[in-house]
Amino acid sequence: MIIKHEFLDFNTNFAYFTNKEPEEHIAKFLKMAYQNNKPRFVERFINFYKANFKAYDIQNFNDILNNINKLWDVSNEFSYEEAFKIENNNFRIKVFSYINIENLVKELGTTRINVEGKDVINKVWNPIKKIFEYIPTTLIYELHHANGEKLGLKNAILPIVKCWCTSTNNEHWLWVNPDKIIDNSPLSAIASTCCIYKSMYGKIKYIIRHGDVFVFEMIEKVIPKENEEIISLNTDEYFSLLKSQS
Amino acid sequence: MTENKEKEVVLEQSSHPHTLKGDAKVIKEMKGMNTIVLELQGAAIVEHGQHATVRTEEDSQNIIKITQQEFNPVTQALMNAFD
Repeated sequence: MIIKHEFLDFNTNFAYFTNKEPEEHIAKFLKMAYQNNKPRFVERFINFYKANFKAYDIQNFNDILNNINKLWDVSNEFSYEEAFKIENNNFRIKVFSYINIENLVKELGTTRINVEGKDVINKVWNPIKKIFEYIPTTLIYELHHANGEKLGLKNAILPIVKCWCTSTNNEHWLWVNPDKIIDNSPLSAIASTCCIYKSMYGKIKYIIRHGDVFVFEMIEKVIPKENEEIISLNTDEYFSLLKSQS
Repeated sequence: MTENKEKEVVLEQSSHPHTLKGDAKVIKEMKGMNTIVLELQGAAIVEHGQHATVRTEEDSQNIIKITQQEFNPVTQALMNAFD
């Protein structure tokens, strides 16, 4: 059974919180989620689970809660460096959702390297009129270099792309692989975030980007294998296939 | 009477999940890049609490969903982006 909680679910079959993270990590995460506010943490997390454990007659799990409660007092929130080192993808995303990326970038210090725009015709669905609409849009991307010292990386230049959501106009920052950037082009940097399995290459009909999700319609059936090589698209491939984004 | 075959498939879990709605069948799910391979019979829409709705083509059949990838500057490996 899974007990659902606004921050961390508990699996009663295996007696662990989301993703089997160590209790030290759970305490550090909860410090972030509850903004270091212990009374709120006790009321909304510890007491929530104690009540649930009692209701399901599984009070032997209270030891886990007591341990996390003790760890709270001696833990700090995840540092940026620690957060990047979290191995489990889902848990790392959870932690990063409480890190303000704009503050992180500001704190690291960045230099703007290059700006590029791309005129596209964005094909969006109007769910009320039930028709496609074709909206001319200019996508703007900025390539920055962040200083890696505060992440424990001496003399490291970390490329990061700044872009704006076409739906919300919110600012987003995406870390990119320096080896995939051609001539400091922000367009090549953003294209490199569109990764596919090698068996998909040359078989993509079009791409829809929906926030952080890519939907690929394939020309033919392709079922990638788990251990298959991953490749990223280049600028021309990405923007010629991208038909719709929001 | 025509049978309503519309299904909901959560493409990406979050506080505002990306949800695909259409005559869809999940063929394969993979941990890597949060991949989902789907078979569609016709158009499907993708909704989200904050992003505008998008839609596949009328004759859509073979769809693959992959999460955008960032390059973790500390571990030097790909990681799933999040919005």
